[in-house]
Amino acid sequence: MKLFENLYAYPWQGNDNNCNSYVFAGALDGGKHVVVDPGHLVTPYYRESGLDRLLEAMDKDGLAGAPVGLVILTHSHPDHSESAVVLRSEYQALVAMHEADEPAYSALGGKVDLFLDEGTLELGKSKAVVLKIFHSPGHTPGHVTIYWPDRQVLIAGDCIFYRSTGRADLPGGDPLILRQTIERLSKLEIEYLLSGHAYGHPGIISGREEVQDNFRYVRNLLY
Amino acid sequence: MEEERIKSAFEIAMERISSLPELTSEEIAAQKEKQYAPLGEAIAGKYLRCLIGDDEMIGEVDKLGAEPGQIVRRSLAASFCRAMRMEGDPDEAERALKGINLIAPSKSSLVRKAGEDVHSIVDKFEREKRVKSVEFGVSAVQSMGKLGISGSAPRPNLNENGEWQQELKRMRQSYESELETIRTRLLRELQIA
Repeated sequence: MKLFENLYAYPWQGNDNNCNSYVFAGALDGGKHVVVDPGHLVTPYYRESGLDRLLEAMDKDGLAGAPVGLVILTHSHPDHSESAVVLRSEYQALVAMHEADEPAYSALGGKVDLFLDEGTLELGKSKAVVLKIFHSPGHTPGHVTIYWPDRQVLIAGDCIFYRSTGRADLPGGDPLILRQTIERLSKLEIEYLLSGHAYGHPGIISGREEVQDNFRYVRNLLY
Repeated sequence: MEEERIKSAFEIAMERISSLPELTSEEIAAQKEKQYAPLGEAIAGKYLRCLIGDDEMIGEVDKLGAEPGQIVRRSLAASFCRAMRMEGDPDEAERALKGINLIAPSKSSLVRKAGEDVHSIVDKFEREKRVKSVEFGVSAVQSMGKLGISGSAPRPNLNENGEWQQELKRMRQSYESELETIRTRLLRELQIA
């Protein structure tokens, strides 16, 4: 699903648990794509194909002509990161994530080429896409969110969903830190909040007021 | 007719042993080395991990007889020498030097000189590693730039950089051979016989 000229959203539509994936199409030199959270290779319970479906969907959007050059992982959980291992080995894509989540990702067999600290991430030699990486812990110690100021898009990973938040009870999670992270993110100018899961909702909240309403709901009901 | 007496397994074993040639003194020495050397390694391990103190370590060696004690002292010295290594725990290396001083108190000046030489090599390795890692880091950032990835957020993970790992391996081998020369010289000069 094309959101903008060079940003595509692929909400997960299977029955099992898997994440939403997002693609900055042709953002790197040579027209290579940047994939955020490619998800499971195969889902754990119903054995639904994850990566194959993502690649087929990208193909339908006419993105098959160039390979994936970079995979950005918001965090290490396998429902977001598992396919990155294959994208790296089969397509020589670089994998980028925050250093604090690298041990958990390594335990799954993953290797990290680039650590992402808080700062700017510029894609393309002409820097056509300039993103801001925010260290957004709470769901995991090394969770990051990706903010595109030009379009006011926030790729939120598992920090915040439609009317809900990510879990903070898994190893490395901390509910108080997650709360601080969400409060911080709520202060951004966000026109499109792209979350990591479609829990009862596609996971794409559009409109500044709707996004702020979602933050208010989470703040009032959960905190 | 008289029944043949059936020999016991023990009797058969003793008959077989008596027909074997006697061990040579070298073979006996090798057996004793094999028996007591691991004890030296175990005592060294406990001392380096601070599970036993100075007096306890010497006590463990002294309660053995003369010959086993010498074997254990040699094994202790070898274990302590091995503990002085690159990228190892500096506190462990200091403790290893202290351990060698305790088992060979008359050779303290040799031990001090060896310690200084080890520190010098380890420092030289760490300095070169730092300089080279910065060079490789810069090169990795340039490679990222060629792909179209830049900014203040991305930082190359050198642990996954094949060329850096090769260079690190080469450096380790080079400095390790210098360290091994010092260890061998120290063990020879300690002359724990």
